[in-house]
Formats: sequence, structure tokens, C-alpha cells
Amino acid sequence: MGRTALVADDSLAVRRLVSARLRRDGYSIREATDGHEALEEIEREPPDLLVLDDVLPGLSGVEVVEGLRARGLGESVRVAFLIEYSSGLRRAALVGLPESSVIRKPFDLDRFADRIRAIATSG
Amino acid sequence: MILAVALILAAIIVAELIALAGRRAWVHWKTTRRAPLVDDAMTELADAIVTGVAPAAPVGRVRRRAFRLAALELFTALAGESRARLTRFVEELGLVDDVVRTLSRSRRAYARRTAADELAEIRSPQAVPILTRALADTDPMVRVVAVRGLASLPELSQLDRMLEAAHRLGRDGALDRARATAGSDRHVLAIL
Repeated sequence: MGRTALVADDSLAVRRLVSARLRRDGYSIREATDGHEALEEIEREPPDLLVLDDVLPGLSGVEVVEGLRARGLGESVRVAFLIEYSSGLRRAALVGLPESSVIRKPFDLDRFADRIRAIATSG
Repeated sequence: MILAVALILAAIIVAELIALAGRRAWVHWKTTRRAPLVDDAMTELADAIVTGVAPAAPVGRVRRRAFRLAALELFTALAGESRARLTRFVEELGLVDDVVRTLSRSRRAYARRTAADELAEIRSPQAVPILTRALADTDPMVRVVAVRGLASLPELSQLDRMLEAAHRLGRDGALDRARATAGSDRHVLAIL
């Protein structure tokens, strides 16, 4: 069975770009536009990779990560945390996400793919 | 007499309300009709950026506009080579020409501002001549956006004219203060 990714971002542009890039790398994609929807999708079927925006309507990215861990999925789901401002870096650190999991927006898609590969293979 | 005036006023108010409701309904219809087209265009452009193969040129004014709006959204999320690739696609699909036409021909200042703003976002070298001409636009906001658009391009051949336009905009010595603190003319533009 192929790898699955959940792209949670309220920006349609980001979802389309990230989905197109990940699909090329063999992921099958699901999308969520807010934090609640992201958690519902995770509960329905945990993805291998979660590309998660820092600032989401409903639940924030940090709250989604906490929800993920509360469901015992903190180890099995790899998280790429998308931030726009450096304050996002602090929020990522607050929930123990390493800096290597953080990707700044706007991004170049090829570099984004390199970072995703590193995140997906990190132990 | 008073009754006649009251009736005329009431008729004007009713006509205004009908016009307002009509306009809202028209905008709503246009937006809901356009949204799926923009969504499709965004998917096509995103795939094109990933594969490096330009999408087929959109046919018709509505589809061209949908592609342009989709590209403008995508630009905000992109950096580096991916962004440059999208700029090339937008040029190849003739979408820059559409905006250039609006900026050079429209009599409405708002339409020219929007067009200048879009060119600033697209960052196409093809837009340099028209943005340079826009530095002398009669509308100050168009001039501001033209300065921003030219400043976002890698080459600054029109720097003197940009600074001159910025100088005409600054009534409180903002340009002089920026020059006093900035290390280079590009920094001056950033401060302004």
C-alpha cells in the first residue's frame, strides 16, 4: 500500500501546491481546511505524513499536534509544520517539534520536497 | 408640494436599494461561477509548476481571468525557482499582456491600481516598460504600486525614475530621511 499524506492548510493555493508536489513523490493525498477537520481525518485514518499549517481556523497547528499525541499517534505520523512568521518556530518548539520539522512559507517546491523526504525518513 | 418631494425622495431611495441588491446579486453570481474555474486553474498551474510543463493556454476572457487569479494566489505561497517558473508560465500564457493592456488603457484609476499591483506580484521583466510609464500616472496610488513593482524586479535600470516618483509622493521629507539612514538605493525603496 502507498504512502498517505494529509495536507491541512486553510489556503487553497498551499494545498494545491503541496498536494501536487507530494503526489509526484507517490503520496496519496487527503486535504483539510481547518484544525477540527484535520483531527477528524487523522482519527478516520492516520496518515503517514501530516503537512500542517501553524495558523489554522478552529484548532491551531499546535493543538492539532497535541490532539495527535493524545490519540497515541505522535510516533507513527510524521509532521511537517508550515510557518509564515518566526513566532511559529517558538510554537513548534513548545510542542517539542524539532526545527527540522519546520518549513517556512513561502517556499520553493523542490526544496520543500527535499525537506519532506528528510522528515519522512527521520527516526 | 411637500408630498411630491417626499414621493420623489422615496422613489430615489427605492431605486438605490434595488440597484444595490441587483449589484450584490450580480457580484455573488459572478463569484460563485468563477470559484470552480479558479480552483481548476490553480490545480492545473500547480501541476505545471511541479512537472515543468506549461498548461494549455486558457481560451476566453473568463477562463483567462480565472487563470490569472489562480496564479496571483499561487505567487503568494511560492519562492525561488518555483516562483520564477510560474512567472514564465504566466508570460507564456499571455496573461501578462492582459494586465498590461488594462494598465495602459483603462480610464478607471482603480482598474489601473489593480493592474499595477498584479504586475508587481507577477514580477515579469515584460512589465518593466509599462510599470516605468506608470511612474508618471495621474493617480498617486498607481505610482506607488509601480515603484513597488519595479523594486521587486532583479534589475533596477529605472531606479532614478523610481526615486523621482517616490520623491514626488513624499511631502514630508520621507525620501530624504530614508536616504540618510539607508545603505543603498534598494534599501531606500524598501524603507519607502
